[in-house]
Amino acid sequence: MNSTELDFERPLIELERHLIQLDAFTEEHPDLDLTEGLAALKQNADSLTKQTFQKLSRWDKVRLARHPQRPQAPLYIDSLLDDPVELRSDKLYGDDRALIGGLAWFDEQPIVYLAQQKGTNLVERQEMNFGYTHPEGYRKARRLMRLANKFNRPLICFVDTPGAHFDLRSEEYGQASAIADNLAEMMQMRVPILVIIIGEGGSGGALAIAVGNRVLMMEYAVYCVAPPEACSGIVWKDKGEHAPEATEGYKPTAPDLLKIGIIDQMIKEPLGGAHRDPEAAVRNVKRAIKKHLNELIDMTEEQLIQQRYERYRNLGLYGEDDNNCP
Amino acid sequence: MEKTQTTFTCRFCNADIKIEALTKNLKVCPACDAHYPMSAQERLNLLVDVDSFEEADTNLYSIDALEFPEYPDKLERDIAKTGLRSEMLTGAAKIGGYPIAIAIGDVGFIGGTCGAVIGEKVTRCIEHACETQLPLVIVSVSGGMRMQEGTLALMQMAKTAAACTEYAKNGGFYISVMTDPTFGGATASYSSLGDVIVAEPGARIGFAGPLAVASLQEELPENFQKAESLVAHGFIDHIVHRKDMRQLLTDLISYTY
Ligand SMILES: [Zn+2]
Repeated sequence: MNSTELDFERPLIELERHLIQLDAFTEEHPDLDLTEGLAALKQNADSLTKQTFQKLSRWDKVRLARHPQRPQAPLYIDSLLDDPVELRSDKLYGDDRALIGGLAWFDEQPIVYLAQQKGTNLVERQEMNFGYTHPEGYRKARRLMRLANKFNRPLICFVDTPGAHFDLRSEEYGQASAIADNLAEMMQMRVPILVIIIGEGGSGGALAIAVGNRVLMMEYAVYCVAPPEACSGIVWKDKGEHAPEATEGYKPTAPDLLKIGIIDQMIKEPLGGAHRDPEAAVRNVKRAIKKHLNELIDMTEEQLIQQRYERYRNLGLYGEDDNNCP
Repeated sequence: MEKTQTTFTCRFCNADIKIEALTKNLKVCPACDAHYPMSAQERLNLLVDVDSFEEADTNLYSIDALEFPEYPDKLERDIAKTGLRSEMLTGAAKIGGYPIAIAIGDVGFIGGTCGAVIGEKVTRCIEHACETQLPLVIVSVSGGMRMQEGTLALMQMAKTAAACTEYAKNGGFYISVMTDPTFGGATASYSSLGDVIVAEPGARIGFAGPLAVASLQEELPENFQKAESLVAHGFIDHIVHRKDMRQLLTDLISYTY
């Protein structure tokens, strides 16, 4: 059994293995007609997957968002963008591999892209700091935002980070200041900004490239104020043991956030999650980008700035009442 | 701060100090100059001209929009404890005779964390400064974003940053005062977007919380995440003793009036 499988995935993967074996068996024995039985079994497998995925808890979705086999930004960049040219410099200090970006074409439209990445094997993961973005990454992003603004190119951001890095160096290099500057920068951009949260939208570390005219989110992605383990530590004063309760509490999944207007669209994932059929995931993302980009490109600079401002201005639920005030 | 009736032992210099002496000295240790936390009201009295403050938006209050475990109880507890119902003082006042807009945080409410109410109050305060073309002073004290309000709390970073951007575009002058502690989303949004940023001596300021940093087990310099370190690394303009803060603000504001 593959150690990267999640517990609720195992029965589905087992069933799938049986199906593959059966398929092979029928090919070896063309005299036997098992078509009907096979079709029924396939249907069973699909409905079992559907049932399992309908019942997923919010914590299950956190685990799917962090799935080691989950498609990462490089797949979307390679499949969706033409002729990407990566620009690696932050024009200040260094090149952060956890946050990359550059120039590319989407559907014959020149764009600027930004993407966070975690890596797919140990060497990559170390190189990319497991997706924890450094101040250099955010400053590189700011440089590319300015480039997009200068050349009037839409900005497309693929968000996937557990959070901004939190070591001594990141603090001394001004992590907070780098993030704040990006928020201000994105607010005043004259071009469309389209954000897609593809995996983990981790706190300020995600928001620093996620202030958009539209924010889309994959079905099993999460977007939180802090990682569930950190939330558990802060609220329950433990070492992360209440992460599942924290997740149920602060509700960071796509359907939750769609309801309160934090995201504009949930992008459906293929049955069993994006990692079970990356090509289908890419197709769905492509369709969504196309739709929203087409709408945004028709807006004027003033409309884009105004719409983005109002989008965030109106986020927040609180009471306001002279009589019922506690 | 360990209290023993009328005296306490300073946790920085171990001197035994009369509480009365500490209060008289603006909650600064008379022996070693350590700056102890102040409530929003105390800070208001310290900074603005007598009787000049007109409070705004007093009718905003936090709600448990996400049904987070025990959040309503904690809200109730801290309302009782602090006597504050809206977690932050905002409004118009005068400093050294100059009219200004001001927002002052209070660390006593859910750890001074920032949720939808603080996000909204800071934003309205900045918008008010923008409309009336007043200089803006925000005194930050924050334990980061409020977990119990989830991603909505996170969005307050973008919202307050948006207001700062609009204000800057209109030529507004924003002085950010960071006090102990200023962390997380506050530092990574409005607190870091001041035209001028000043801090009190020894104030702990950073993005990552101490627990997260400690988990990496790095050897940390003595002034790590202290105001002094942020000045040395180029992120803060000045460290100002509490007794001199009002004068510095007056001087700064005078340049743009
Ligand atoms: Zn002392």
